Amino acid sequence: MTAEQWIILAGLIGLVLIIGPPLGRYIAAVLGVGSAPGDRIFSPVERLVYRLVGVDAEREQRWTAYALSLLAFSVVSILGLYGLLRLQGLLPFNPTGATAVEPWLAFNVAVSFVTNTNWQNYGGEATLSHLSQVVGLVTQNFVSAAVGLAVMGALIRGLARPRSDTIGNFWVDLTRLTTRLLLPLSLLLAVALVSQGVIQNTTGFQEVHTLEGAPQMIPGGPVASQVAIKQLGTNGGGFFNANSSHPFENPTRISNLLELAAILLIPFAAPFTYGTMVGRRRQGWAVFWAMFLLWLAATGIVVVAEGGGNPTLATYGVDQAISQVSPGGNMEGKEVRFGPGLSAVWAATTTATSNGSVNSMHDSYTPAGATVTLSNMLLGEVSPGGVGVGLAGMLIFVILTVFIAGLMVGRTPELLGKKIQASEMKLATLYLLAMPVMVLGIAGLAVLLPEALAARTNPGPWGLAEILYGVASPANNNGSAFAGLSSNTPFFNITQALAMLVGRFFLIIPVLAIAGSLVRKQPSATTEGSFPTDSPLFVGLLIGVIVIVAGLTFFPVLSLGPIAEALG
Amino acid sequence: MDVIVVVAVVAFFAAAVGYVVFCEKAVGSGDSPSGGLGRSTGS
Repeated sequence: MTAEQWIILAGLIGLVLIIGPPLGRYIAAVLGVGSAPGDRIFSPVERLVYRLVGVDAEREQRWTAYALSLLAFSVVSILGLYGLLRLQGLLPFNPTGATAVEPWLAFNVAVSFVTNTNWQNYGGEATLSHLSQVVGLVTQNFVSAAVGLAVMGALIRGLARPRSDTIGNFWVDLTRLTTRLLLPLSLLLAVALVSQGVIQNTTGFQEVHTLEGAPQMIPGGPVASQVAIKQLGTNGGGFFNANSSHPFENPTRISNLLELAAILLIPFAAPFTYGTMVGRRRQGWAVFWAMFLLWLAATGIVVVAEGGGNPTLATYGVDQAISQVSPGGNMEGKEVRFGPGLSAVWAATTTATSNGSVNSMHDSYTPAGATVTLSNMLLGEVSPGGVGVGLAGMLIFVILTVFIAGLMVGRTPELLGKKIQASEMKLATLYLLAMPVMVLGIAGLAVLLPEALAARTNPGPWGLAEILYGVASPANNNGSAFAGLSSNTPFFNITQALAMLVGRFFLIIPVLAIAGSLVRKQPSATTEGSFPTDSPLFVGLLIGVIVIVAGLTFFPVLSLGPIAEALG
Repeated sequence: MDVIVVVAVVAFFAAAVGYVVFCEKAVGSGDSPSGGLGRSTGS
């Protein structure tokens, strides 16, 4: 990386460290019952929403009611978005003349945005009307992110509350997180992005002529407002097909820094929300360091791999060093304004956060770089993961680590004084198994079917990597595309949608069940015999458990894919 | 085709509701009276 790019990376880390703790405390206040900053502005709006949808904001829910409310909201969201995509050709605000989206693709898109995945088997500017983008996709960008944060809040309440039966009210959490957190932050970021040149208009395609006189179609649309929430909500779905490598979405290195910070802010603030809500700040810092060290290690490896250039080109003596005329390194599939350095930071960040937006094409990464981006997703999106669900996933690993540590030293497993018993371990196991079953099952099926194999653009190990990425991304609700798989086929539209649904709801349900189980328990007093879960030793143990679980599950398939490509 | 998609979505969420019921059975089941995973050895 160039010196400027190192400064940008340092600035990014500084922003996360400075803004993360206060933002985490603010989210805790939003998730808290009673007064919170901004009541005078937001409370009247929220009361109106509660009255319109018939919600009693004072009434809390058991975990089952909370989960059923979440499922009801999600099924209505999917069917509503599906209907909008199918009818967009008949509806207004369609300057590009987009026609109805084909049924299985509309199904895939609807599931993708409601599950916070934003996998895109289409090009936004070519396929969707502005109405579909603004009313359909942007709305889901907000509420799907709020759903993830609500799940996080419910799990933390399960840990924090002594002997209770309820874990909050889903409708209240959904509303407050949208109005008090996501909307204000998105507005601020959208204005900042417009200042950098991200477009925000209502035009369709405009025909211009190049210097040679050839006609060229320039797309328009309300881009900044969509990009802001797609990054803050770790959604990732681009207004344009080229996503954040498109100059209208991400024109400068400043916009790149702002968007990177937006991707990381809420996921890295979440541990501080946890620390605040359980009343033990050190617990939050421990989780933060585990997340941060995993992200930093992944980022470092991708930066080194891409900065080192393409190993095959090096054997031919091609100069890939930084010079006056080249940013150096492996430049295939990357934008000159970002170079390998900022592209690598983005790739590591977007795959670690369940964001999925891209500012370069991951299929063109070196095998080492691609192994890391793939592994970030296969870790289960906990480093730091998507908004809300990242912390929830990390807390499941904390429970698993406490359990393993308890077995190792002969102590009863406890977390924050609450005993981890058979029911929590059963539910944690269900959580941990759902994603690998989807990834390995669908990828295994894909390599057996000629139709699925035909979607690859490369044979051999790299082709397997393309298929694995094309399943791992939706199953982890990431949405990042490798760019080497032509997956707009019935097989991938259907299996990816199934992976997204299972990867979202069959993980959320055990999380809420664990919250429901823990919230009933009376925490015991912490004694000298209690295993500390806020020490550097525990952070190391937690990281080790995460890496070993993912390694045992996925190392064989990784060794047949990108690792074999690297060694070949 | 639209009907098939709607039925598929509703069927998945019906399965998810069944999963909630399944997990509810797991909540609170199998916990030993001593409060640990079987015999408690902690202090």
